[in-house]
Amino acid sequence: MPDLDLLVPSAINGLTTGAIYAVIALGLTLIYGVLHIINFAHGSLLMLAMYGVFFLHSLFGIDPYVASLIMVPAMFVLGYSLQRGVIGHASHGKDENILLVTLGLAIVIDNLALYLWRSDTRIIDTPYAFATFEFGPVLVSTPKLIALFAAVAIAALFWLMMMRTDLGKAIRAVAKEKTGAQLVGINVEHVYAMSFGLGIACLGAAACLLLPTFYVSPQVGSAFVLIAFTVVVLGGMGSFTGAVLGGLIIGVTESLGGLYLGESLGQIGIFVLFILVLLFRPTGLMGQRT
Amino acid sequence: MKPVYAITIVLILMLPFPWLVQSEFFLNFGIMLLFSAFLGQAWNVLGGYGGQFSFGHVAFFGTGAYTTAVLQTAFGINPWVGFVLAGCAGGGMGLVVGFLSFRFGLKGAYFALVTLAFAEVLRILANTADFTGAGVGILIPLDQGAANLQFANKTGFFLLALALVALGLFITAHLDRSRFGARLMAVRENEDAAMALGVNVFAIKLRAISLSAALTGLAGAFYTQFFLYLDPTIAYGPTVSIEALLVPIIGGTGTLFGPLLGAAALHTISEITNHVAADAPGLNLIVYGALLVLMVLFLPSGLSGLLARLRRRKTDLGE
Amino acid sequence: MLKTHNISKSFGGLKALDAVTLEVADGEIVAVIGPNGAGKTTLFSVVAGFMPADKGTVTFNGTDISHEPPHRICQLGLARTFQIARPFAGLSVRENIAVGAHLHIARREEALAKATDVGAMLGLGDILEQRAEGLSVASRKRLELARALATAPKLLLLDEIFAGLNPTEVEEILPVIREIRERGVTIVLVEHVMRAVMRLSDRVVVLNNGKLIAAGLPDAVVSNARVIEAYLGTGGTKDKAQVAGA
Repeated sequence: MPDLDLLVPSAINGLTTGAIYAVIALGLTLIYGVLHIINFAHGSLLMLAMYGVFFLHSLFGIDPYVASLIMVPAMFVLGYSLQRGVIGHASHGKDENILLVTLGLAIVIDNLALYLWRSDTRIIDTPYAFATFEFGPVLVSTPKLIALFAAVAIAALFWLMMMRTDLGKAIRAVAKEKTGAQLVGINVEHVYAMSFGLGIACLGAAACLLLPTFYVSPQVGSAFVLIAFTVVVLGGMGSFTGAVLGGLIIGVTESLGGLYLGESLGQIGIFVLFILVLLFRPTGLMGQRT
Repeated sequence: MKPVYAITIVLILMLPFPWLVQSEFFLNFGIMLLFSAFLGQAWNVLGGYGGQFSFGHVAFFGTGAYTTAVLQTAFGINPWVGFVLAGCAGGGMGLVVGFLSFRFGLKGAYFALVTLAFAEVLRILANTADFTGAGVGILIPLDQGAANLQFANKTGFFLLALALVALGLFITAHLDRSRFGARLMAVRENEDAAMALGVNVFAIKLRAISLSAALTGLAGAFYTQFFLYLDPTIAYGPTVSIEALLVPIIGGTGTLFGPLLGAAALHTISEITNHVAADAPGLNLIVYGALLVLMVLFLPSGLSGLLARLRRRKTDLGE
Repeated sequence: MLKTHNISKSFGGLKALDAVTLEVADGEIVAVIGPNGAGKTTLFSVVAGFMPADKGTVTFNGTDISHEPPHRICQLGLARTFQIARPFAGLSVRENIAVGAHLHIARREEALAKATDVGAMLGLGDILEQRAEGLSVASRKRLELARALATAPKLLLLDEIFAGLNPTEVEEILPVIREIRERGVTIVLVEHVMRAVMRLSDRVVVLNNGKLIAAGLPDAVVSNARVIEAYLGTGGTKDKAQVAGA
């Protein structure tokens, strides 16, 4: 039984990983909260963003954190276009169709990556990749600490945007009552696309936070998508606080799971938790009970 | 035309295929096409007729596949027996997943997600457990002979696949003409209304998923016998789940011949793509994914829907 | 035949039903009326098993159905229609009705035959092959009725079956409902369309704010001051004539 010496660093490590999960989940939960669609392509788009950061670094020497200035707007544009151009036209009145179209997009993106860049995992080298920060007796990896603060900052930014800006008001209006919003002149198509774009922009940020310590390969998409869903379902679909809380909880669960059950079996903890939440409390920790 | 006749005609037309084609390549193509069609037929029971879209159907496939593989290699059970038991195992897993999901009222996207999660859990377990060979997988020793379900001549596999497709067709036809099928479709269209008409929605869904899963388990066993090798990614990875749903969606969900049409279209396109791009990794699935997106956008009722529309236009014009 | 005893149901702070006790006898047509939000549809949902009551019991032909699921209650002979029609959109009108017929009929051909008969009785004979999706409001209502009827119920709960119909359509459905009662089915209807209430019902029951405030013969109930007050607020007695003549 691993002792406290391993437990605390593992938990802290989990928190920092969880912070990144939170950023990913923020986008997913925004998309669900506003458009009421489950974006199966979320993991694949994250993978695409990660390749973006990778190539910006390997081809142009741009530091991943700096790359966020390019990646975040780029991913926003991608998200906006996807919703406006493809997903928005898919429904034909049945929810399953949206499900299928985002699944289709995920398949296309995952395998396009496989075709273009093969299966090899790639990592980038940054001078601070192995830097650590001392927190009393515990050593925390600096990039991961940055991720933790960034996640909180992004969540705060989101909150500010939703509560203080006109766009935020429009988004909340559409999320609550789409027809009413239309009646007061809000361009719902545009708001949908903006929301989707913002959700995907989060992935740009998450990619920049991940690359210093994580690898990229075509398979990371599917690895992350289920985790992202678990976080969102755990935290409550449509809840930002939930996404952050959920992300941290899942991060710690994964870390401790890996500690006690070993790397591969440890992942099971997440999925079992996912199934349990879906079965017993699908509205999540913060979600409204219908 | 009565469905029984249509099915019989289609089967008779397909029967001489192995003797008509000369190359192993085309025979393989035919076998994989029928395999896909059967997989799609299995998914169609729950997804097309029942309206419950599973994204993790591979959970039942892998369970069937591993059941027969383990029974053969570890216990020396005859593969034919293993085949039947694979169907039972698949059905059993269907009952478990179905009971949990439906008991707690999961529908739509939540149901799709939970099936994904179950498949992932099984993949991780298969990757860790000893008796499934963990990451290395299971290799079935070569021992050709009909009694051993390892046909030396691929024609045997073609006939087995055809038999499975026939089973699928008859089961689907039964759905079209039975009380169970009518109730299942009612559940698909509107659960509350079905309940108000005396339909036990939970029981019907459970029956549908067990049937669908059992058939998928058989598909898994077929795979094991044909390829003689199994590992966690093959058995529980996403590829089979994707194919299982793509085939009926392209062909037309909730229709009798939809999966067959879909499998034909999918595999033809797949072969052409492979030919053009020389087996590049992932290209196949890119095409599958693109097809899915295009189908949903432009042809949501699938090829069957398209054919029905064309037929209707012909009769309209004929007036 | 149907008895509810002290049924209470709250949603959060809102008391939707407050100790509602009523009885419906065999072969009656009883109308449940009351202003919007009075709890009428909630009552139906509780009786039909779609919602559990917080307190109280529902008895049907001597059996306690308070905790039975909807499909069991339908099997026992109590069928309901929905306020907003819920057709099986992808199926034809005949196939829709057949689902109801299948409650007691196992064979497909027999169920389809019964569906044809019930459909004809309800004036849907011409559109049996049409998909339920594109039907007009009146046809959808008839379909709701046909489906429920096909289950061979002993008691039928009709939730605002006349809502959305123009006066001609209302006139056309009235005799159909009388015919259903002639065939031995007890009917309880929730209604706003007063003309239908007055012409059809043997007895009327009035709900207001979840409480049962009046019950009795239609004419008596309609001139009851409490009832008029419930609909029109205090000082509405001069509009009594409007309510009675609607």
